[in-house]
Amino acid sequence: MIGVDFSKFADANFSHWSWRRLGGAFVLCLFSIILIDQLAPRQAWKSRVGVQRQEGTVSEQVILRWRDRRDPRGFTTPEEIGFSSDRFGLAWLSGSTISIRSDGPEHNFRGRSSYELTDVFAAQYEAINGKDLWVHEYMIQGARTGDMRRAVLHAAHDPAIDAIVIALNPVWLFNDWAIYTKSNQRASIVSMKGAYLSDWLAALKYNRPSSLLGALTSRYFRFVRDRYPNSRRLPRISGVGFPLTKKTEPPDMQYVNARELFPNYVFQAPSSMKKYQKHRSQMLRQTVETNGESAKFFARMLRTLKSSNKPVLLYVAPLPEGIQGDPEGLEFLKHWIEKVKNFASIYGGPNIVLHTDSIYGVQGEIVHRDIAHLHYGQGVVDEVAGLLESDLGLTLERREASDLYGNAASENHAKD
Amino acid sequence: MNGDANFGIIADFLVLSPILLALRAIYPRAVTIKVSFLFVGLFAIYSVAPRYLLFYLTYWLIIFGLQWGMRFAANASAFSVLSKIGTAFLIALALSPMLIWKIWPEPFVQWSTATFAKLLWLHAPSFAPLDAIAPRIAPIGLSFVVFRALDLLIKIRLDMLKPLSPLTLGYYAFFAPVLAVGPVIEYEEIALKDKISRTPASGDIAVGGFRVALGAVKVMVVAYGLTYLTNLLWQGGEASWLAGWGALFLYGLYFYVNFSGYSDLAIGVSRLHGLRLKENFNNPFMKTSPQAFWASWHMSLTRWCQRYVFIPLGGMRASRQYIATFGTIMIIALWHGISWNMTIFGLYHAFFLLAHRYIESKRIKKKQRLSNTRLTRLVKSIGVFVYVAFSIPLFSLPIDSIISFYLRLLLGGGEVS
Repeated sequence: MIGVDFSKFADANFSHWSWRRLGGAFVLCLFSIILIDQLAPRQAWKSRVGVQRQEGTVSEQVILRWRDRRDPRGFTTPEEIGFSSDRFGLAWLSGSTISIRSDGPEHNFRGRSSYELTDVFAAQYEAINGKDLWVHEYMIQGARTGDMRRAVLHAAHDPAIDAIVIALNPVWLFNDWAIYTKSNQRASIVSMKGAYLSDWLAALKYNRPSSLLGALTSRYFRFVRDRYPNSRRLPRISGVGFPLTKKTEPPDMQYVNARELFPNYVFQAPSSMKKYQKHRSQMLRQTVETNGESAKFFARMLRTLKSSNKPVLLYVAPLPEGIQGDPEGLEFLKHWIEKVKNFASIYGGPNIVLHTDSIYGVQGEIVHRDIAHLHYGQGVVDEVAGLLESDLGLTLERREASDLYGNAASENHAKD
Repeated sequence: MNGDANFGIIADFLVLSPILLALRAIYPRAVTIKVSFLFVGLFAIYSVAPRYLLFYLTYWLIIFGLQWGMRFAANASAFSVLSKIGTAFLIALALSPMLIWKIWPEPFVQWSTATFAKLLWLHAPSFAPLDAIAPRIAPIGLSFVVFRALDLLIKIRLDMLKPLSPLTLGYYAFFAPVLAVGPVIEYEEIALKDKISRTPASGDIAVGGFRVALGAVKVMVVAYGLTYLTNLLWQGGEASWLAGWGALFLYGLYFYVNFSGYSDLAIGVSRLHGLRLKENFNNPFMKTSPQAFWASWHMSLTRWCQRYVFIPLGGMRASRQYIATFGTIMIIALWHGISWNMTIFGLYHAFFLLAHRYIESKRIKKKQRLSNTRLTRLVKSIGVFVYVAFSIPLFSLPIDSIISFYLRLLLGGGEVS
């Protein structure tokens, strides 16, 4: 009938090959690959950037620089976003602490219950230092310190970016048991501008050799670089696959977490923090006494930011008010803040402003969803805008914008 | 195990091959290959789920000890009953992780994940970040690992091999090309003389390169195309009777091409280093009988079962051949999973194998000659293909859909629940 096993054929035709013939064949194969790669039509399929974002941006001034976590290319290039030096590029690097999930219509932003603080910022400020503003959003879902390291490296070397805001996560920054989120992008650091030798060593430790080779060769071969978007272009039959007849949800991939492995390590929260027990335990489990892998990532982040000479604001995502009634938590945070400040003084530079007070709350109003996520975050936007003006010396031009929140905003925005 | 991990291990080995070859060129001794291959194998497991490094190190440490138990049992022939009991006990011990996993898959995965992750996170915290993003999965290639360990132990018991040193055992245990999807290699296939050539033969590299390319094309191109066409015909379960059969046949081809592609990759990357693994597929769908099919499909498993199930059950004697055949095919089926699906799969294939043997024995007795023209061979191989393809959905059908699926396939139309 049908056979595709060619063991005898292979032995009969190749086993007598000489080194010279083998070398010739290798060169020919390599040459063919390069030729095909160069001659292939350049209508490269453009991945929809930031496809992780559920509903897209609310404001056109927000440029998504992050890609689907499965896409090994990492962040978008200046060419992809249509880089223009006429605009002021403000990068906002964060995990989901800037993702807002509103708890009711009054906290919906222009009718959306899901949005990012970058949307709010871009809606309220139209220019910085006299140039039209573009907010470059580097929002990595579930970002850990190793992921933030990549974002920092990218933003620091991106010509479209003039200033950088970074949200430090008080739960994950020094957590050595969780330094990466799940993604195919970890290896891309070895092909990024400005990566240190220590970045390479970390990459060797936490990536497969094949992923590293893919990242290294992606600079030279389009078919390697674009393997993810190209794979998405392949025709697929959606729906139920043979031999099934009912749609079955793929089993939810479960992962190991420290809470489950070490139930005795769960720190008992006081009543004021009881509802944040899970994340509070994660927070207290960070390594502040010694410098683990995450601390090394943080140090490299600061070194890169310093050498970029771009104005940088580091702020800490605010914790809920209940932290004030948590002596153990406060004691821990004292050491945590000391460590962050210590690192900033050693590895940082004059272009970097560190704002740790925000960990205990911000001037304006915010509503917490859990320990680090928000239902409403206007206060954070106000705080960041204020610090950009007061501490970084930038001149922000506010936009005439009213009725951003609530049902009225939704109706007005729909009319627009 | 998912496809990414399967392909990833082979790809990693391929990427690291130039380094392995360079080390061999610098110091052409068996120890170089053993150490470097062991390191790559350990790293392969680490990169999929670091927790299972501990699992497998523990397992193979036990196997290292069991080798000496087997050696002792082999030498204690004066106490044959005790020796047999001891041998059975040691085999059961080596087999137990696989059995427990096959019988209680979910609890086993939960237990092994929690136990080994906890040990790793506490005692080797720098491994934890990668472990935290590795999903809960069964230890990679456990069925293959256990059968390889049993092969080693039984050969020591039969005095065919001497217990392996820790390094040699590690080299065999963590031989990366076969870690995820086999084949079930024997130690002799990768055994090394102390002094080796500085480079593999150029012909080996050429053959290895061809096999790797062939495997990659099968897995990444042909298998993808077959899946696409299968689902195109299947229409999410709305296929016509004829299209349903078309989908069944394409799925059978997909199953074969994908699996034999992975075998090509494993055999090819090994050959790049001059190591000749035995073949795992030999055009099974070109065979003209169920028996010939099983002798050329997943041959490493069939060979294993022939050595340790078929022959011990007396398969070489005419009076015992039916029971031995039945036992062997049931073990092959249940090796894939102890489930109703695989029980039905085993019974189905046992029926055809036994029927074929019976008809063949009658024909031989009557001294009837079979027509052996190209056409009859083609018809027979089509028959074998249809018979095999019919059983392959059992690997992926939920138990409550089996009857309705096959009723629909046979009778056509109707809603399949």
